[in-house]
Amino acid sequence: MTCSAFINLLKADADFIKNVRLWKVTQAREAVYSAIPTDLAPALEQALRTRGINQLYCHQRQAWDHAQLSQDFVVVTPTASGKTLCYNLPVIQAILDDPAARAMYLFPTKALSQDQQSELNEITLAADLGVKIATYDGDTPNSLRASARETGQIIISNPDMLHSGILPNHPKWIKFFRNLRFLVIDELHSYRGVFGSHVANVIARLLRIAQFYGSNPLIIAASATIGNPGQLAMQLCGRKFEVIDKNGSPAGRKHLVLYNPPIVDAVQGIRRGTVNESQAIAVKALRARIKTIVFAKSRIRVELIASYIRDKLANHFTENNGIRVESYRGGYLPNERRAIEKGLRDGSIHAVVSTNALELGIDIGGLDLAILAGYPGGMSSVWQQAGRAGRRSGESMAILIASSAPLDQYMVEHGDYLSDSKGEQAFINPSNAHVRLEHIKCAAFELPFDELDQFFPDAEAYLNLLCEEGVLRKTQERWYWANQSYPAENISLRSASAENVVIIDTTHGKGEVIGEMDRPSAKEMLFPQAVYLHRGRQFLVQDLDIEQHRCYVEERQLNYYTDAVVKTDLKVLHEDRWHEQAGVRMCLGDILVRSQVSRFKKLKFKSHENIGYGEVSLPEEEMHTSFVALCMGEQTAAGQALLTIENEQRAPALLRTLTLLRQVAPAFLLCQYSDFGIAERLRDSHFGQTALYVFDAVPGGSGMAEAFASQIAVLLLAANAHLSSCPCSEGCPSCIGAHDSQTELGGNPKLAVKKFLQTWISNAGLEQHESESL
Amino acid sequence: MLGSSNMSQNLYNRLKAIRDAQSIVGASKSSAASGSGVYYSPQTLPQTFPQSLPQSLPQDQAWQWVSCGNCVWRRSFVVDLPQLKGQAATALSASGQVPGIYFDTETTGLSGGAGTVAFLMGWLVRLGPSSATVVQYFLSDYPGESVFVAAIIDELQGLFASVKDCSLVSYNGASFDLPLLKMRSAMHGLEFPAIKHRDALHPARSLWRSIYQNCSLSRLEHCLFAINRINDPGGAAVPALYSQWLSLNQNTGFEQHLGGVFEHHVQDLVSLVLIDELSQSILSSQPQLESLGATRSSLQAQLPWLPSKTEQQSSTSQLPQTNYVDYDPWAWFKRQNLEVQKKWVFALWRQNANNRWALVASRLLETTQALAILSQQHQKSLETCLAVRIALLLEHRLKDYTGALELVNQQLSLIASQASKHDPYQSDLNKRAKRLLIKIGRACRSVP
Repeated sequence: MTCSAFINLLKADADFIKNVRLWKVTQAREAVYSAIPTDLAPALEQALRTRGINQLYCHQRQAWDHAQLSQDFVVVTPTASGKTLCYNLPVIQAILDDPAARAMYLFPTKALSQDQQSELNEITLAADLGVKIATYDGDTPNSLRASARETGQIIISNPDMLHSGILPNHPKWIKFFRNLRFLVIDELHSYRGVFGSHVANVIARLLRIAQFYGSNPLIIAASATIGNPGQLAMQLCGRKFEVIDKNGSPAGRKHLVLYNPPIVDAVQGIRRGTVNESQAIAVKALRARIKTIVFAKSRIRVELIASYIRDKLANHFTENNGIRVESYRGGYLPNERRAIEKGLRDGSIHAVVSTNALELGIDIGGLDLAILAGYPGGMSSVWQQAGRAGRRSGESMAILIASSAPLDQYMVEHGDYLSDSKGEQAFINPSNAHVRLEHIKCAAFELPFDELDQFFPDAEAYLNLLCEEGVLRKTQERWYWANQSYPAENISLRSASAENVVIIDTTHGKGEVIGEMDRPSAKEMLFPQAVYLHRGRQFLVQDLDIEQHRCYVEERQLNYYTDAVVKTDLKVLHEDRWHEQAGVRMCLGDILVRSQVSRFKKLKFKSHENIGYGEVSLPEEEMHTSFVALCMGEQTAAGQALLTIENEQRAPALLRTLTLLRQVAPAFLLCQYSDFGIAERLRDSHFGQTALYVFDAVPGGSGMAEAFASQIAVLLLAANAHLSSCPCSEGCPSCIGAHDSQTELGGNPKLAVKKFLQTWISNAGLEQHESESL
Repeated sequence: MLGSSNMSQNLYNRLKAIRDAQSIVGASKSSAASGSGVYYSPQTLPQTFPQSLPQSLPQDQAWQWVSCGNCVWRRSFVVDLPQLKGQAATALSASGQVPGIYFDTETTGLSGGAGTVAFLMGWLVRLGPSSATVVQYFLSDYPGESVFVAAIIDELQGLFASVKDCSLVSYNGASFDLPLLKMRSAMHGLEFPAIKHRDALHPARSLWRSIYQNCSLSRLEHCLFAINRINDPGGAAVPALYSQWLSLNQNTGFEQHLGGVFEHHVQDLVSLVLIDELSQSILSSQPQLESLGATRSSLQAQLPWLPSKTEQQSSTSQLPQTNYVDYDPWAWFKRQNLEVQKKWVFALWRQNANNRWALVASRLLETTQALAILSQQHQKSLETCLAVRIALLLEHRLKDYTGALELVNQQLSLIASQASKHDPYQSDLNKRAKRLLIKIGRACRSVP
């Protein structure tokens, strides 16, 4: 059955249609072509023609022209629009012209690097261009590293490897850096917030070393979904970029369907679950031979959905009608993942159930149907996941299945919100003092600092401080690294801890590694007695040895799975300083964020009914970080404002105010939504009064809470303005959060928040202040 | 508008505040970088040369450091160097190794990378049967590095041109010293010449790893030649000493402050020669290893500095007159049949007195004897692996559950008291304790 036929089938299915809240069709788009440039090397042109490319899309041609003029540029076009050719063409051409030329490709994850290498190989092998491409990351065996450094013309890596492996050892890369002509940064949108700020500093270090060896690479950036590409690229690399956003690639007709599952419990408003709904639709599609991808929000759900689909299709005699369904998520061994990606590309796998691990640009070929089991939490994720279905010609479809959560419900009931929104803006702050201090250390390790550094113009204050700490030594007007340590080793670009637990299958004494998991997740999913699902097989966890980073499991046949109950609490460790501003007393200091798995539920497969509990005794996962608490004693303007709100509305109003502040903060604090955490306490046990907590989401702190405190007045005004201009009536995900009719009895939360904010602002005299400053 | 100096002053104050806040809560992140490691007082670093090595450092002018450029110093002098004798010497000359330029570096850190600088480099060339010449280059501050590296490359090249057919010999230089030197040269735009190089670590490892486990230079010099360094700073402390010297901001006086480091470096070179010559000699005679008859007493004649055995040892271990048993008893042992093994294992344990032999012995000997050996060894080392073995014997062979449990609990509390160290046997012990409790309970119930 073709996809069009399947879509018509769904349209005619009354049971399906009655749950559909929005059916939006995007018409097919014609390609806009440009000629292949005449100055392209004949061998390269031949390579394109063997791959069936006889002309370029207009954005690819535009990219070529910019590259020939040595202008840095950023390409922003949708998924599968041929972005990679935008940088591959100029890079390969430069290498064909001068075999000594070198290029560095940066991808945010290792999986993407692997994928890019196979894509590049296809081009270069098609015409035997003889360009040497090497992936250089944590998985590269030692035996291949030396030859990659010496002879690799295109090095594919990730920022983490660049930071901790390549830059600190730059003299080993001397040949590479001397001839570095291109720096390619793909998936630009993933470099945002604190992580993006780190990466900006890593790039400054790269350019600084390149300059030392006398090279100045052209920078090419690319991204699919981003609201401010030019600005982000400039902040990330410290240079001005030309933006190429006119998409010339064709696209088939696309259907976007918002699906709200039927209510099963009218009293509590509970709907049929996303797991069951998504597998039912997927099975329907697979029976019609439609290539399908299902995105689920957690690793457990991925395994559940995949095994349900497999069960439904299971048929011993026809070998499941030749339909292969795989699950895919982080934690599988690299070769397992490669095999699944390959199976999707060559068509031997018909459906895949995945976490957001397949959201980024890994090439898995064109699929017909994308099912999103639950709103993935961000607009860019919706577009990335929905974009996985779609081909250059022919129809494709994406179905978003809502869960019972308020946010999901808001999304399906307000279809225009979803279909109108543009790419999100990304903010970074490379001169964040916490981040910069660490990278100045690394940069000093790499090369001594002179009085004026082009790439770190604000370095002097940091250098003097590091001198006083004995890390650097200033002698004869230069700062030298004067410490025994290897600084990059202690600095992680990502907040997630790098520690991994390996999962060992001990069934019948096998002792075989079947997967891996980061430590915090391991405590939630691999506690003793947990059921671990791995590609449809069930394992019972025997022992979790956190210190040795090992988890021992045994294969079993069980009719239930497990789900951890996690408790999180905050403990103020140290009050650093107090100050009063914008009508609220603020305390800055250190906090311990603790989360612990205390017990687990046993849930039966299929029915998901709870069949028992078990206790877990594992050490807490602790994060020591900095925080600010907004304390609203009755004498403060904020406290007075709170008193004007009805009693039962106070707790929700506080939480929603905080949610609202969090929404507007990234633009002012130059970070991303997830860089800090929030908590509200109507009656806080530590401060003995109402308090709102904002804390850094990075162990050791990243300066977000501090910035939040210093900008509180601006944030309040911005929040108020944002709330007033938001067209929703009772709250929506882009302001105070969707209205949740289950927990909020009576009253409109939006009105309460509005009243609270406005009273606070006028009590504190902020409006006046604002008009004065204007 | 604030002036830029004012701005940077503000930033500086903010950074200070961040740092202070971090230090209050003891955020451990910066501890590695703060350089507040153990400082060694220079006064406690006098002579490092071993008493058992005949040593005479010349006190003439040649011993003095000579400046050769901004922050770069050189000295060269002659040291005494013993030589292999007898069969071992014959074997060495038969090995056909080209003469070595023994080479070693001391660095500002052990982690490698662009921020690790070599501040002391030098080499040793044997002059004849009893002496050698040593050259040392010292970098007294970072700005002199390019002159430092250039001078070394220059002199090494000259040396290679004058001594025909020689090679650089280092200890682990293939993966540390040489890549480092190449990196430093590259950073200063210098080409490091292609020099023949041989790493003495690999043959040494092939010979002695199975018996001494760790084949570090200091371990081998001690085990093979009984060299005991006195007041030597130890390789790991050298970077801290250098950074302490730098922090004094003096142009002179490094001879006093870093005397221990310089001597440590010379001792490393001397030990390197000895280890290399011995391993070459053994390896080249390997075909006749069995007939070499290099028992301890005959070796003693060849290695004059080898300490003689104490009376007590020789009376208990009447080892067979065989092959290199002193150097690699394990290699000999594992080729023997069970009867011979049973016969000699006790003597070997007595001679080597380490955990490994105790464990081997406990497997071969009968229970009471095994227990005696194990508990004697355990009293000495308190190692968990021994406790586990004793508990096993008590539980399964003697059925002494309470005794086993007592030992297991003792060992567990010992592990707990050294909380910083993770013990791989801990979970095993915990399991054992649980099982023993059950067994004791069962035993109690079965008593009428």
